[in-house]
Amino acid sequence: MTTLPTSPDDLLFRHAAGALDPGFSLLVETHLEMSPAARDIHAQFEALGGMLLDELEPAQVDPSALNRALREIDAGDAPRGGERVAPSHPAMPEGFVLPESLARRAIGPWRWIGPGVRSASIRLPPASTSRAFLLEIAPGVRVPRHGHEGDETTCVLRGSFRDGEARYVEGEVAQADAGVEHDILVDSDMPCLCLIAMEGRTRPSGWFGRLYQKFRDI
Amino acid sequence: MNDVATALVLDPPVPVRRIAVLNVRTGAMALSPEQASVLVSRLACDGDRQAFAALFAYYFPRVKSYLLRAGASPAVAEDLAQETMLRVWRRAASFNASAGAASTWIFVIARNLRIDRLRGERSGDDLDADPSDEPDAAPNGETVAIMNERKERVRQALGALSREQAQIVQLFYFDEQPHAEIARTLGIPLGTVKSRVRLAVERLRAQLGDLG
Repeated sequence: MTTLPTSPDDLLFRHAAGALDPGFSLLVETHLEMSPAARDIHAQFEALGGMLLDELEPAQVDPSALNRALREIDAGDAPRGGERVAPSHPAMPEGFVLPESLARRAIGPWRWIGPGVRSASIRLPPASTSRAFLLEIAPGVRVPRHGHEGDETTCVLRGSFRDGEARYVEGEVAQADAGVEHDILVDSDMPCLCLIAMEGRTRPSGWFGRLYQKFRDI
Repeated sequence: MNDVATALVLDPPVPVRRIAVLNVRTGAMALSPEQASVLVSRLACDGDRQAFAALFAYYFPRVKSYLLRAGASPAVAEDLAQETMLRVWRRAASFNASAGAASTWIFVIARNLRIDRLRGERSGDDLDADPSDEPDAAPNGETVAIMNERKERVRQALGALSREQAQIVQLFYFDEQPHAEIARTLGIPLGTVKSRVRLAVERLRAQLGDLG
């Protein structure tokens, strides 16, 4: 088996529909920041949502709803809530600025999980059934075969890597289904920094898989 | 043949006529995309309550319907639809008519609220502008005429789906179900759901592709 085609149209579609859980939503939002082409496709899927909304049979509503809304508007729009505390992040590689969607999240400390490979978990809402983390792999490092129990999606934030015949550069998305076994080789001069969203747990079919287990529950 | 899509999207467009305002029970009223855009702009510029009432009459029952489909109780759907409309009021200044239709913008606000409240997944800072509420900007400035054409193309694209594909699309947009749940609902394997989604999305993309 090989990695799926690079076009993440189905993820853009599911995000626009509101049908992705938090780890994958975060990945799509990051990808959208980095790819104008993806934004255009995503806009079409959101327009589809708007059109479906237009076509819905209107529900029965409380006749006083409008007046309640107007009263709330009259009562003033003073924003509630205090200042937001900036979420904490570990130090990023020199010259790299986190995309806005990631900068809004709390990110845990870097942990070395193997030679030339470190990761940092990203805090998601407790209801999330997926996980998201940053993974940085040093140039020339090959990450041996590993399998997945569920979907795994990678967005390249910096640098590039090869996966078999395919090469992924900044802003691109690589998708792997459950059961896909793949090798990753970083071929950029700088370390390759990726955002990974994952459902299920990585199956330990190699050292990397075993190492993944170290942070699977974070 | 294609009755899911037919029921969902192929009803003839309701003829546009003068907007009846201040009566949310006027169920049959219509609102053209141009009118909706103008109304949202009037909220932003003048704080125009008549404009708000017109938007409310049209969208409030539809947003409630959307939330009911997503599994909200009638009371929760009413509350969230109310909150959606209040966000429309508060965030009207962030609406960019050249970037997308008002219905798209309102759908995105309702969708984000649904994810917030029904799934408890997003952080709950209600009143901060949520950047993901803004529709993605189109690559070039687009006119309302082009948007109408786009809307027509979206309608056609949906009509071009097979019954199975239209059903899947509907489940994703409305029924708040993850892949595995959809597989159970339809009684088909997870892999089939995934490949069906991919095919539906490819088909939609092929239809929508030359919109640029």
